Amino acid sequence: MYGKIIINSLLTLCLIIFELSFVSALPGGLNNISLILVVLVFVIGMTSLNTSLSWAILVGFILDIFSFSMFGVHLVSLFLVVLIINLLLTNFFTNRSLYTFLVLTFFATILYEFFSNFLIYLFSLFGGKYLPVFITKDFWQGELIQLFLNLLIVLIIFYSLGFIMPKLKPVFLNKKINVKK
Amino acid sequence: MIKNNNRKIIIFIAVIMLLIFLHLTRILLPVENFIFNIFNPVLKTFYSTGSSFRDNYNEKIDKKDLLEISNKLQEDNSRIIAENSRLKAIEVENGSLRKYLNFFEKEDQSFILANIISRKGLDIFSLGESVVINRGSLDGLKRGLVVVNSNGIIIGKILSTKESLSEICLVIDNDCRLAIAVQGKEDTLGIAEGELGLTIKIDFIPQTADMTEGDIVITSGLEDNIPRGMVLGKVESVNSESNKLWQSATVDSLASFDNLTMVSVLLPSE
Repeated sequence: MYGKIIINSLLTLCLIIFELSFVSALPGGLNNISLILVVLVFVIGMTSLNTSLSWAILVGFILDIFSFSMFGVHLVSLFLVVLIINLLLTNFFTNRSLYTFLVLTFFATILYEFFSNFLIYLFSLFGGKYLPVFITKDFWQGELIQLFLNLLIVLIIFYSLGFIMPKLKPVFLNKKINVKK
Repeated sequence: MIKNNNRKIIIFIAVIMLLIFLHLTRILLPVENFIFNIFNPVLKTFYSTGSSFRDNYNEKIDKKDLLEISNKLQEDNSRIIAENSRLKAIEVENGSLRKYLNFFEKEDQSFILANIISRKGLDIFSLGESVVINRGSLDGLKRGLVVVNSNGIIIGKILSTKESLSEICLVIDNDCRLAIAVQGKEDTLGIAEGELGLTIKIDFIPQTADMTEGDIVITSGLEDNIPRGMVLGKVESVNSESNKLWQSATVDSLASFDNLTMVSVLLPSE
């Protein structure tokens, strides 16, 4: 059990370091990739709710330490995203196909931006800093690029993992039509 | 099972609230500082690696313009050499005059070196160009201090600080504003502001002010903690219309932002 905790913690820290410093320095729009969200979606899909929430809290906590926004924004946003994505996975997308991960990543990206901006706005009502980023063209451009890149990364990771793990066999969603006799 | 899940979620919510509470009451500060100290060297290394990718990428993109830039630089170099020898003569004369009038020697500006550990920052509003360095309020840094590269060219200003981190807006960022003057034309003043993460625009230049392409733009010294004479860039174009109250200009920064890994923060003189 302790081995599992140590491994998960180390993987989380590697992810944070990679995202914070390496990804942010990349050129050509690649710095918009949100590797944290993509990896979290896979963690939700491949492990338990406990593990996913632990990842979200550890990642969110360290991001908040390095962030200049209100403390807790990343923590709460990632926590809520994991809860909602898990809900979608267990109730709507019951298989682990490529489409499932793509759709979940799509929702994760949108929800994370929504929650983090909403929390900042709430904080601004008590005197915090707030900029209405939604009115800027740069914001939407950045969001679209992020969405596209995240989905591309999911595709790459999914097929890479498909070779290693039988859990992620690339199957398509099947619609079963039940015929009542 | 649902009850079990709900209980787990409540526990996680309690953990989150506890973390936020401990942060706000600064009980977690030693832990946060420990994490900064552990992460900083690693972040610095990874950022350098990412930065070199960025460098190579930009090099490939810019290769076709390099010859043109090289020729232009050679011309500029010759002109600067001539200007430099004239300035050296003025410096010697200035030194003698100061001695005669018994002026105190101006102290060298104190500064602190810092490594860049992340680009674009982690602020939710980091739309523009900003970087994070591994120095903060514990090192004497505060909002508004100017940041320069190894050649002494201004690259940005400190936006906000934590104990061991600071966020810097680059001069090409919309949030970065500097009070500037034109070198050699003491009456020409304005406000320089980043534009689109690519260039710098100067607004509120009086119509009567004299500004031409190629002029060197420096800090005017009107802002607290920013000394006069720090080089920002060179005027690329001037937009002057007689029916407007102000004229504006576009400035090309003399600093390169793509391969920045280390910067200096000018500390306020006591």
